[in-house]
Amino acid sequence: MLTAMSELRKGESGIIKSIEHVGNMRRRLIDIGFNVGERVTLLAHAPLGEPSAFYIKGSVIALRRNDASLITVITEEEDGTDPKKRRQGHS
Amino acid sequence: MGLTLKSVGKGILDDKITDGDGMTVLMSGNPNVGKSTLFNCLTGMHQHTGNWTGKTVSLASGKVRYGDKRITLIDLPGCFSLNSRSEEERVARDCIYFENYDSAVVVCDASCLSRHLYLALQICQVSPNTVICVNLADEAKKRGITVDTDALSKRLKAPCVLTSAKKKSDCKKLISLLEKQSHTLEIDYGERIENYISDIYSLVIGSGISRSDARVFALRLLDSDEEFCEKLKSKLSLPNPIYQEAKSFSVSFLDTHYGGSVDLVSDEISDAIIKRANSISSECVTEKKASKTALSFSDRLLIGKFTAFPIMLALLFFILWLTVKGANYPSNMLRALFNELEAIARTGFNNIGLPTFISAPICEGIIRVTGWVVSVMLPPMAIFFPMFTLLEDVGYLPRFAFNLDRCFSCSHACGKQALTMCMGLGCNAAGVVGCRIIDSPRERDIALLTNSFMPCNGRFPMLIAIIGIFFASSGGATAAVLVGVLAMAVAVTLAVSYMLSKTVLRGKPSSFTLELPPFRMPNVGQVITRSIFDRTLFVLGRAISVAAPTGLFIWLIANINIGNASILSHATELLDPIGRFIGLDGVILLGFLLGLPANEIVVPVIIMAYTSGSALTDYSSLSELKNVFINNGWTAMTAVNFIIFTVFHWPCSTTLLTVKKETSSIKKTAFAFLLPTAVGIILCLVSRLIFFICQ
Ligand SMILES: Nc1nc2c(ncn2[C@@H]2O[C@H](COP(=O)(O)OP(=O)(O)OP(=O)(O)O)[C@@H](O)[C@H]2O)c(=O)[nH]1
Ligand SMILES: [Mg+2]
Repeated sequence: MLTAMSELRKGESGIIKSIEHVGNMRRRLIDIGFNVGERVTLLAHAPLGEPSAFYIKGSVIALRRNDASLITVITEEEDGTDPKKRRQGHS
Repeated sequence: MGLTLKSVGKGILDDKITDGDGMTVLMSGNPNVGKSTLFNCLTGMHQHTGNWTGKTVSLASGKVRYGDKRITLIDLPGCFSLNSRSEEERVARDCIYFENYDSAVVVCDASCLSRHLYLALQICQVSPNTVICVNLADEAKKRGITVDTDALSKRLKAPCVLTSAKKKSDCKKLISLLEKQSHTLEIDYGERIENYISDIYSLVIGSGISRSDARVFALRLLDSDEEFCEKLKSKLSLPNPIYQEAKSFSVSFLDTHYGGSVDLVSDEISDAIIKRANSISSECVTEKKASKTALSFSDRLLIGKFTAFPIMLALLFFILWLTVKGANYPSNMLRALFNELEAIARTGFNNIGLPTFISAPICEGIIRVTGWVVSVMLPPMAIFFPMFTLLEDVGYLPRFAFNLDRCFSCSHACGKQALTMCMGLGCNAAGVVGCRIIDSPRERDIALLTNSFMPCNGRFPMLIAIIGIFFASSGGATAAVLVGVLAMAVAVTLAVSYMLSKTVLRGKPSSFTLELPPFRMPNVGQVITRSIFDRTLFVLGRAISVAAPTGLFIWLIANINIGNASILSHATELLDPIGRFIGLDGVILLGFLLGLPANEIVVPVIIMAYTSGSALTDYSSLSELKNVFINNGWTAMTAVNFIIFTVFHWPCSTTLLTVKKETSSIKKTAFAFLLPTAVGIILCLVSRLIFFICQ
């Protein structure tokens, strides 16, 4: 199932499908390992809800919600819950 | 490892590669892989290291002798890629493309090699003489990861070595590999781009440029900015007509094949490198265990929803409490020592018959002010900084930034500002330079202009002293008040950042990434001795270079009369109305003005002004000091406003010079002066109002 990376639940992983960022930030993300086809796992949200820490290619990177939402991932399980509910589930 | 002599004060303004004889070797690599640690191990120097991305922001060089080899090592700031346009990575990138060096060491992390090979592959294409250093081998071993360096060496066509930067023997191995060779690596970018590269090569071949340089040039024409290409052109000494031709060729190539989108072409270029990196890493790396993708227990506490902030405050309180408690005894001892020294000097001078107009300035000027600076400033800082450095080495700072990021995002600022603020605690000038890790110019300016809100090394002990005198009887209470003062400094930083974002530095928060490195066990003994040593040298250096001469100067203006009063009292009288208006007085204001070169001397100036001409000659305890203050009209409000003004007033001259250097703008420097001053005055007025209402 396709979702924004920011909508992953805690502990859930997905495979990066596309990156919507442009310019410098796009390059930075690609440079630090957010590559298409790579597996990314959401580890935790910061105590105030934002940013979130992601495990990617052996390291942990924190991104703000806005920035994470511009990365699309494919999650493995098909659980049919709609994204709004998923978000409430983990916040 | 904390702040060193070179990393604070005027030393940080130097940014040049010193050209020596022998080989010049660059230490490059991603951030936080141990470049500086290796550099220190090899050179025996003490460059600051720390467990977070962006610790090193400027170049450092050192010399190594190995057999008959003489090597100049250059420690670079970390970068993720050679092709990014971010300001943060510029220093390292430019160095690798444009400096003259014989060899580049690329330091990689053994635990996530594929990510690090991305940069290594880029550097192998640019620099004909690359050595790959796979560092953090001890950590990788713990995670069950092994790296086959021979295979790696074959695939990269460069010597590879596995190291743990903290082991001396490993570092030696690295040095022995630094031989001259000269071949660059070529990566296949796919037919379309390869054809384009050949076309460019045939265009420029007439100017005698090598194949590998031509490849680099062709690729960078596609995805780099004008300024960079111009620099590359002069580095390769390409004639302008050829350059222009190549340029327009690349533009038309970009237009026809990628619709003019730089993002598309640079994606394709990166993809090729990433594929190669992944294939090399899958060949050379074996993982015994599946990598763990859950948070560690300590992380669940340190960034946990309910535990993060209590732990943060508790840690801060604990460190400050230890600082206040631990500093008390050595402080008193040093004070007694200097009092004695003054007495001995006085009798000594008397015995040899030195006239008072020479002995008095030495005793009451130089020795007394130096004594204050050393006894009040040194002990707390020699306790605070080792502990702060331990936190830094463990990897707490990025977690701190992670926890607070939401606040910065609400202020439309960058979360990495929290890191620069931590640096500011040591020295605001270092904090200002540290702002280079913030990529967006707008957010960098915000961080830079508000950095002086963090009470630095020179002001912190002042706060401890005044709080101890007026508001708290026990160490715990002092620490609690200090936590409050720091919280206020952070709150004001956030508020002012917000206001700047809404006015002069208008804009939306930009994107950024924050790395949370693994926790690492610091070398406790070494950190403690090292940073106590550094702090001591630093404070003593300041005492000699600033405190002693100012002491003399102040004694002179306090004792040379014009008309019927000293120059000092004329000056304080002049300032008095302004001082009184903001709930201070003329003497305090003069103290802060004279403290422009170094805040350390603010309080001694004030004391000297209060006591000049009076019977009180020396003060042996802080309670006697309290009497001096109270006799000169200090109330609780004066003390509160003094604390406020200590935190919020003009930055010291070194910080201002650094702002000037970092922004190259007089306007911003002036603003950096005025902004904290205005904030301080406003807060002092508010406090005065509150005291007025409450009375
Ligand atoms: N366990 C272990 N820790 C290491 C090793 N090398 C470095 N470290 C630690 O890793 C952290 C980062 O080291 P630095 O030398 O500051 O890294 P850097 O590459 O200079 O980082 P930047 O200046 O930010 O680019 C420090 O806490 C070091 O103590 C190693 O081989 N093993
Ligand atoms: Mg470094």
